[in-house]
Amino acid sequence: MHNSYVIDAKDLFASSDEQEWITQAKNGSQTAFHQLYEMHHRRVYALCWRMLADKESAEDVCQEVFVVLWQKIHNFRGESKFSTWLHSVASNVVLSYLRKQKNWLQRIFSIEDQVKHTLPEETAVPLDDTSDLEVLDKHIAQLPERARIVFVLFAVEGYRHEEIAKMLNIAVGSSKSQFHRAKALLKESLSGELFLGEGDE
Amino acid sequence: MNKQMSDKTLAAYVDSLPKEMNPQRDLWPGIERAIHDKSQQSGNVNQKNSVAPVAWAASFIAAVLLSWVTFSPTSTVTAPLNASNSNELQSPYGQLVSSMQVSFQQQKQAMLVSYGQPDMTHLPANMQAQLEELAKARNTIKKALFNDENNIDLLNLLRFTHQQELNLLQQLYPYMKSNNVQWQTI
Repeated sequence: MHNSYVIDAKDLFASSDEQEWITQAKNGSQTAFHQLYEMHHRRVYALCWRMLADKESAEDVCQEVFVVLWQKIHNFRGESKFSTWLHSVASNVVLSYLRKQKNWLQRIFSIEDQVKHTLPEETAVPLDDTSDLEVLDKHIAQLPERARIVFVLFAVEGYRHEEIAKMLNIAVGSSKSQFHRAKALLKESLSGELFLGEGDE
Repeated sequence: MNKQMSDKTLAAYVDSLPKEMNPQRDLWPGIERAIHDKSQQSGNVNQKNSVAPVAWAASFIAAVLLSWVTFSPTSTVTAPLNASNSNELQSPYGQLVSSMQVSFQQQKQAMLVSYGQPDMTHLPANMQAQLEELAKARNTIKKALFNDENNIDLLNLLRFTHQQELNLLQQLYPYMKSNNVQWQTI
């Protein structure tokens, strides 16, 4: 509990700096924009990595997010936290990137048609690429694309199913079913790897 | 032992996920380059807009001077510019006009040197047209001053034209700078 007060104080100072950098960046200061980048790029990269499950793509899209941010920072009115707004920009850039991919439709249809999913057959990321990641991140990376995107947006980023459905242009029910599917797959794969503690049911 | 994990445990794992990850390469140089390029593009659009008033001013000066030269009483006594008065042509203007001309050429040259002596023929056609309009206006004023070297209005017009030309060069600088590499390879 004590730690949370320390973090709040840090957040307060960071927020003050952040406000100043936002104002300066809006006025065209690349130095201030660099400060914003330094402050936020690791979180944005984490979002990109989790949604794309590919290091190279995540790095490229993370760059694209900040280029888009530079162009759109005037649209930030301070009605929400900057980080929240930035993450919605980032999510949309990632989804745009996925839509632009050559076989986007093909992948979506193949995912929808999948009845059974076994992780070893659909490994999206080579293991050496994920060697520094948390165990759960490795398993998230190996989920089918749509299940992974919905899971990351809902469980990690905190979006509601209604918002996800709008972002992905799918029904709310589809978002929920993809989330349940992702959960079931993760529980299955994690159960095989992790030692289950006493709290497990 | 192959027990199914509970929702609660999975949620706890999700909560413990790190909020941040470090990309392996430095992403900032690429971002900086991209936003610099985009700023240049928008700068060029603004520059095109800023050239328009100069074009209007140059056209206006040209029109005024055309009227001046055509209808001025002194124009009727203008000596033809031929070989017979070549001695007169060597110093056709008063000292003030000459010094203005020298000062302008020096400023223009210094400006072009500071821009790396760009090849002006590689400027876009509309920008070249503006510079030509101003040069024409300047020459017409000089012709008028040949007959009336102390005319204050003409001297002011000449000074105004010089300043417009220098301003235009200054406005073209971002374009010259952004295209410098291309010019060097030509």
